[in-house]
Order: sequence, then structure tokens, then C-alpha cells
Amino acid sequence: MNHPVIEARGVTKQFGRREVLAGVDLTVPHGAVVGLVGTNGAGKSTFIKCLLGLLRPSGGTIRLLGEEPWTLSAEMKAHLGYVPQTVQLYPWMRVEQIIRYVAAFYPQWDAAWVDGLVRRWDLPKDHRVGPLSQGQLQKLALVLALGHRPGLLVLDEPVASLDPVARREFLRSLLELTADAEHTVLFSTHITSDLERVASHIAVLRNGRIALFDELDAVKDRVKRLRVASRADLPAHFAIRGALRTQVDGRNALVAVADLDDALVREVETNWQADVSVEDLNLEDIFLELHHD
Amino acid sequence: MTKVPTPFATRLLAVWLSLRTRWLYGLFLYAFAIGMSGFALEIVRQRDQPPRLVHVLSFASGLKPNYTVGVRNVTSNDVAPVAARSLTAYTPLSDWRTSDQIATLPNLESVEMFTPASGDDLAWLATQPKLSSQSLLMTQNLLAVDLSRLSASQSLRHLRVLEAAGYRTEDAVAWPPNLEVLDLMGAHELPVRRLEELSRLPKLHTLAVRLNPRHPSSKLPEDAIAALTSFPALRNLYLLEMSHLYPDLASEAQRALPGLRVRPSTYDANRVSRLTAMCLVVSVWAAAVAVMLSPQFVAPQSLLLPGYRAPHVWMAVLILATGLAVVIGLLLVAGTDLLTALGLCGGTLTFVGLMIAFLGRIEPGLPGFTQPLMALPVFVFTVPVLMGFLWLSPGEVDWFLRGEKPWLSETLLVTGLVLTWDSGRWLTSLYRGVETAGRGGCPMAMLDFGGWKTWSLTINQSKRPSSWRYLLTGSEQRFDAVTSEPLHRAADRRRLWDAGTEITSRRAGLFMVLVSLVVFAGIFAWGNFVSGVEFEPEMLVGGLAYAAVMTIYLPAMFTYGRLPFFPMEVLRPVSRADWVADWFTMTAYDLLTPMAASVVASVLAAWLKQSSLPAIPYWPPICLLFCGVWLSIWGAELWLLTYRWAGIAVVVALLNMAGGMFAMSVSSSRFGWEAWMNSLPGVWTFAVASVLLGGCLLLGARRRWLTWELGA
Repeated sequence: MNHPVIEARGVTKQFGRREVLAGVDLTVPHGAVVGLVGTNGAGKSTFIKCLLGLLRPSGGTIRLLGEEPWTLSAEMKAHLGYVPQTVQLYPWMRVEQIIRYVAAFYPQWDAAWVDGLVRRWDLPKDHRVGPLSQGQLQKLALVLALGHRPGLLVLDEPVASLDPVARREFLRSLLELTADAEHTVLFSTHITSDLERVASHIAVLRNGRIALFDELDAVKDRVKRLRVASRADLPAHFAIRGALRTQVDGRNALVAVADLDDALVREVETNWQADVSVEDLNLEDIFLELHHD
Repeated sequence: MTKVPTPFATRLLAVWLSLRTRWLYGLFLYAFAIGMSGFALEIVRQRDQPPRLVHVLSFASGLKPNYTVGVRNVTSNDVAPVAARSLTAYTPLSDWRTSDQIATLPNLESVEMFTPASGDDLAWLATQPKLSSQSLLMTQNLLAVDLSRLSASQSLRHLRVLEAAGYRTEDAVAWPPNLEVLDLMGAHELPVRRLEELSRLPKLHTLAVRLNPRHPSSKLPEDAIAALTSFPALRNLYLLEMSHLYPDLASEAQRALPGLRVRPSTYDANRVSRLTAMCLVVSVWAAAVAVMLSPQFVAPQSLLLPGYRAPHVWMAVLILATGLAVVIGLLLVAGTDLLTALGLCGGTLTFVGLMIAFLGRIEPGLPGFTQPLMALPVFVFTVPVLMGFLWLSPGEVDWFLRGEKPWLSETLLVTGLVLTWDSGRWLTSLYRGVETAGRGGCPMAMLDFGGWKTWSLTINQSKRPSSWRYLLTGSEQRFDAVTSEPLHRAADRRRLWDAGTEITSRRAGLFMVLVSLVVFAGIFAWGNFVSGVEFEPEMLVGGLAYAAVMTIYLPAMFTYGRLPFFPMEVLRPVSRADWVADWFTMTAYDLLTPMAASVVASVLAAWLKQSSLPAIPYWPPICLLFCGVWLSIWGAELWLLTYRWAGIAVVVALLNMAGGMFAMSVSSSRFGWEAWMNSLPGVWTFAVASVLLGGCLLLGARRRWLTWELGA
């Protein structure tokens, strides 16, 4: 495929007077595993639903697999997998029945792989869906979304109810799926440690816009924390170019910067006659720094 | 600091304000107030009107008083329709015979004559082999010898003579030997010796006469009582009651003749119709109360929150007591006996208790069938059944309202109180019961269909499915077959969508129709037992037509239950346009099945009645009208679904009740085909308008579905 898997331009979405998306721009390349992060109510689910044609954007354009999501063709949908935040499955069916039911829609269903997933995730095949626990439901929803090896897998907080073992199994399956770089994944989550294991890209949604989108490694390279130790007390207006957050305490300061380079470090050392040490941040720290007001 | 306890009244008010769907409560209370106001106005308007004289045989013998000309089959193929319409009630029988028209009626079953009939007429009628029912009205000149000429008839079973000189004389009358129902109500006081004469009729089971008591007592003469006890087959005795002179005549006669069912020959139609209207209003109100009560006590706060239970219980008691006080007051003003009024309130409480039992059962009897969905048919079917009883036996209802069935009133009252007490006890510990049984997660809201379904499945997980359940759900082999077939055509895909519903609306409809069959058969059997109403096939077929049309709300209800799955289903490999087309096709089929069944049953009922079918030129517009109604229901249901409003269930159910009544009226020929037959352009206008309306609704619904934000 030559075109990006997801291409969103200036997407807005309003519910009455409330604007949830205020102009989202995002281009997801083929084969990427994109982690979509944001605080509660940031609009992650709304954006995902707009992507899938479940909500109609108030403005902007979206192309999904090269087509308009609202009128996505059957052929393109056959390459689409989705796990919603709240899983809704037919409660009266047994696990094996619902697998057969969903499989009937997809000509490319990989029954052997699905059987393996069911065994690995310890799903009771003869049990009805209704009484399954939330975690088991989520596992089942993931199996159903993965069964046809979709070209684009969209997951809305897929591991929120999973225990650590199941989460590891899920991440392993995701890695299996994306190993050939033919499959694209977009998933929203709050568990940043999972993102660090599997994501190739990260997109941060803040105030209805994509505040940051880049390859994960690049983000980690760019976003750093500077520990500044000056010889004299730092003024209240102490500021550094590109700072995400600044915390001053006498002669010391902690500064998170979005785009670190050597020039910036030298500039701080010179201007403030300070010793500057650079600290790496994990994804959770980066997320916190980005959302610190 | 000492905390000042909140006054109980304030807590009660808080409960009222906290009711989750108090708007629904308010709506129904408003409807209740409006209905009761109308009811009260009706009482004031009608209180000075005398009781309507409705002849006993109109509900006892199966005679058709709406036949202007009592010649069976007069509008059928036996007589040309034009000629038939030219015959009127005032056409002399001799003219009929002269024109040889009546002789061409091989199926002549009943004759009703308003004009003075001669003995020759009666002799000729007695030769008709199929004549089973005859009414002779205003025939003062008939002598005993004339009446006796009917005795040659072996087929005559029902005879009604409103006024004849013959049977007031001392002369002996020879009566038709196989007479079963005899109505001599028009006569002045019947001589006792006439009673002795009639007591020799071996099959006479119903007798309507005028027997005056000895003034000022309300008791029948001893010799009359002795004569009446000697009838071999007599079961029903209807007495013309002169209420102003002998108000207790029927009651006294009943005490004197315990082996017979003695009833007055008139009833207060106003009183019965008022009760009918009140039953409808009270049923809606009681159902709303029941729907509101369970969620108040199923939540954990009913046990954990201090001071929660008492105000909630008292609020329920207050609501019930207020409504019932209004009902009792109005019934008493309408002249109903006090015990009967209390009994009717007991009946209301029984209805509330049953609704609660169905709505919030911890042990659902039907796996996978949501409780609210079960309660809806309870309501939808109970009310018409109640109305059916009222219509079938108004004389008995009037008898009951007069306080002459204290055992029934007492039974209703005790049952209502016991059931309400038990429901109350059960309600207040509902949460504990649910948790103790290991069946937590009981949904809070009664209209949370998805929640109820999941809960029901949870608690039925370990149960082995019973074989009869397949009637509703279909076998698992069927599911296997559908899911193993490759998707080649749109029809395969629709079968697959269909397999995603455990109980299809068609199966549920079939189940409801079968249940209705049993219920209607029971009603007719009861009507036959109590009032001597003869079973007629068209009545049962008409009932089936009613039941079938009642099920047209099921597609909307089952699709409503499917809504939570739509966001996932629309992402399956099918375009949105095809997905919409699939669902429209499926619901069309689901709706067409009960409607077609209803139409077929209605036509069959009309055909069985033989005089109700419209003429051939009317069939095209009537078929078009059917299509229009079908399109309108189809479009309206699908359109309303997109608003995801749970109240649609109530709206559709009420509309369906109206539709059911319509079907019933069509099948029982109360619809007035005759009026339609005289207005072909009118029928065409209705038909075209209904098609246009249906088309607009359907197009609007399709547009809504294509732009429906399923993720909202």
C-alpha cells in the first residue's frame, strides 16, 4: 500500500456545544504500532470512533485504508479489527459459538491461530459469554479482533481489565501479528509500560489535538529532564527554551524539555552559570511532563 | 453538635424526587388523573339515565341483534348482493316468499321478524331444516294455536317471542321439542301453568321470563318456584326485574333456587362501560407503579443506606393507597357495592403483585428472556383479556358490581392483600435475596434490557436447557448449520445476522400466539360455562388475528435488544448500505409474518361469519391499505429505534393494543364493512394515504439508519 493507513486532517467533533476534538492531525504509516495516549476525557475513544465511521466528524477529513470511514467498503472492512473500550458480545452464545459466528463473516479467518490464542489465554470454550468476567470478555474480544489477522487493528484500551499474565500474552500476540511489518496497530492505553514494549510510535492527544506524534525512540531521545544546579539563587522568572515544566527551588531547578540537544545544555550552563545534568525519562514520566499544567 | 434528624415527610419528598424515571411516573399519574376525571364526568353525566335494557339473549343465546334482517346468509352467494340489500327489516315475510328469495336460502338458520307474523309463516318456517333460531317481535296477534305450529320444527333451538297474545292465555301451546333457549320476556306475567308446560321440554336450559312477586315482597310465588325446580335441564333463569318495585327480586330468587343461575334480564350498561374504562386506566397506572417499585430495592443502598427503606416503602404504600382510594371513591359514587369496590382494588393489587413478580423475579423461568420483555406481554395481554371478559359477559359483570358475588370480591381482596404483602416483603429484601443467591449484578433499571439479559444468563449458566426452550431459541444444530455455511449471497448474510439473535421475533410471536390460543379457548369455555355463549369458530380465529397483530411490536423490541451490538456489527465486512438493507429486509420479513397471519385469520373469521366479507371491487384497495399499514409500522419502528429510547417499548405496546382492538373489530365485523362497501373512493383514499405515509416513514428511517452515529 502506498497511502498511509490512517490520515486525519483537522478532525473536529462536537457533542452539542462541547468540543471534544479540536483539529486532530495524524498520519499513521503502514506497519506502525501507534500508542495513543491522553488523559481521561481527552477524546481518544471519540477519535477512534471517528476513524472507524462510528461517529461522524464535525469537521476535517479522515482516510482509513484509503477510503472515507463512513462509507468504508466491505473489502476494506475485511482488513479491519476493532476492540472497543466496553466490550459487547452476544451473551447467550458459548465462547466457541461466538468464535464460529464471527469467523463466518471473514473468508481469511485463521482458525488455527485462534485456537492457539484461546488455549494460551485460557478461555473456556463451552461457557456462555454472558457470565464471563470482564477480563475474560476482553480476551475474547481480542481473539475475535485478531482472528482474521487484520491489516489494521484498532484497540481502545484493550488491556484495562487484563491481569499481568494475560497482558503479557496479549503483547506477545501483538508482536506476533506485527512481526512481518504488514500489520498496523493503533491502540489507546494508560499503561505506558505496555506501550514501551510494543509501540513503534506514540501519539499524545491533549486538549483535542495531537500534542506529540513521533517514533517512540525519537520521543525518548528528545524529551528529557534537566537538573540545573546554579551557584546563585535562581530567579522566579527562570525559564528555558522549549521547557514543558519548570520547578525552581533556590539554586536548583528541574526542567523537562521537549526537544533537547547539546546546544540547549550549553546555553543553560552559560546563561545561568550552572551545572546541568540530563536525565532520561520513561514514557510515563514523559506523559506526566506533557500533561503538567 | 447534635444533628437534627430530617423530618420523615422531607425524606418522603426526597424519595419522590430521587425516583430514577419519575417523568414516567408523572406521565402515568397524569394519564391516570385525566382518565379518572373523564370517568368522574361520565358518572355525573350518566347518573340520571335509566339502566339500558339490553336483552338477555344478546349475551346468552348467540342471537345477532345487529342483523337487520334475520336471515342467515342473506349477503352471501345464496342471494344476489343487490337483491339482498334491497331487503329490509320491514320487508314482509310473505314478500320474501313471493319472490322466492327466501326459498333459495338453503342455509337459513335464523329469522327475526318485526312485522306481525301469521300462523302460516310460522308453519312454513318450521319446515326449514336448518332453522335453529327465531325471534318474533311485536307479534301481538299470534295465538296459542299459531305458536304451536312451530312445534313441527325439529331444528329450532332458540326462540324469542317479545309479545304474543297466545302464551298469556289458558290455551295450551305446543313448543318445539328441541328448544334450548326460550325468551318470553315481552310477556306480562307468565301463568304458572305455562311454566309447568315448559318444564316438559327436555333440553331447555335457558329461560327468560317475567314473574312478578307478590307485592310488597320481593319473593317469587311458591308455586312458580316449585314449577321452576321441575325443569329437567334448566340452568339459567333470567327474570325481568322491576327495580323500582322489587329491587331484590333476582337475589331473592337466586336464594330460593340455588340449583339455577338466576340473573336479572337487564343490566346497567353504563356501569359496565365505566368499569371497562376504569380497568384500562387502572391497569396502565398499576403497571407503571410495578415498573417503578423493583429498582428502588434492588440496589445495595436499599440495605446499606441508613433510613432508606422506610420512606421508600411508605412512598410505595402512599402511591398505591392514593390511587386505590380514588378508585374506591369513584366506584362507590357509580353505585358499586362496597365489598365489590374493595374486591376490585384487590384485583388491582393482584395485578401490581403479578407485574412485580414478573419484573423482578430472582429465578427467571425463561433463560435468556429478559424480565421486562416478559412483563410487557403480561400487561399487553392481561388488559385485553380483562376487556374480553367484560365484553363477553356484561350481565355477569353487572351482577358482580351489584355485590351479588361476594365470594369473588372477597377472593380478589384477600388475594390482592396477600400478594401485595408478600411482594412488599420480597421487595424490601430484594437486594439481600439477590446477593444471598449468589446472583449479584441484578440490573437497577427495569428498562436495561441488555443488563437483564446478561444477568439472566449468569444465573442460568449451570442450568440444563429444557427441550421446550428450543421453541423460542432454536436448536444449536441450526446455529451450527448457519455459521458453517460460506457467505455467498446477501441472504446467507441475513441468516447469519439472524443467528446473532437468540430468540427471533418470529419464534417469540409464534409462542405468544400459541399461548393466546390457549387463553382464548379458556375465555370461550368460561363464557360458555357462565353465560351460555356458544363457541363459534370465528371468535377463536378472530382472537388469533388479534394475537398475531399484537406481536408486531416484537421486531422493534428484539432489534432494540440488538442495538448494543450494532457498532461491532457495522464493522463486519459489509458496506453500511448493505448492512442497512439487511436489517430492513429482516425486519420487513419479521413484521410481515404476524401481519399476514393476522390478515389471513381476520379474513377467515369474516368468511366464517359469512356476512362480513367486502365485495370483490374492494379487495384491491383493502390489500393496498394493508400494504400501507405494513409500510407505516415498518418505517415507524425502524425510525424510532434510532433514537434508542427505551420508552419506545411502552409506546409500541400501547399502539399495538390499539392495533389488536382494530383486528378484533375487523374479525368480529364491528368494523362496519357495510359502510366501507358504500364508499369505494373512501377506501381508495385511505389506502393511498397509508401507502404514502408508509413510504415517507420508510424513506426517513432509511436515511436515519444511513447517517446513524452508532458510536454515540
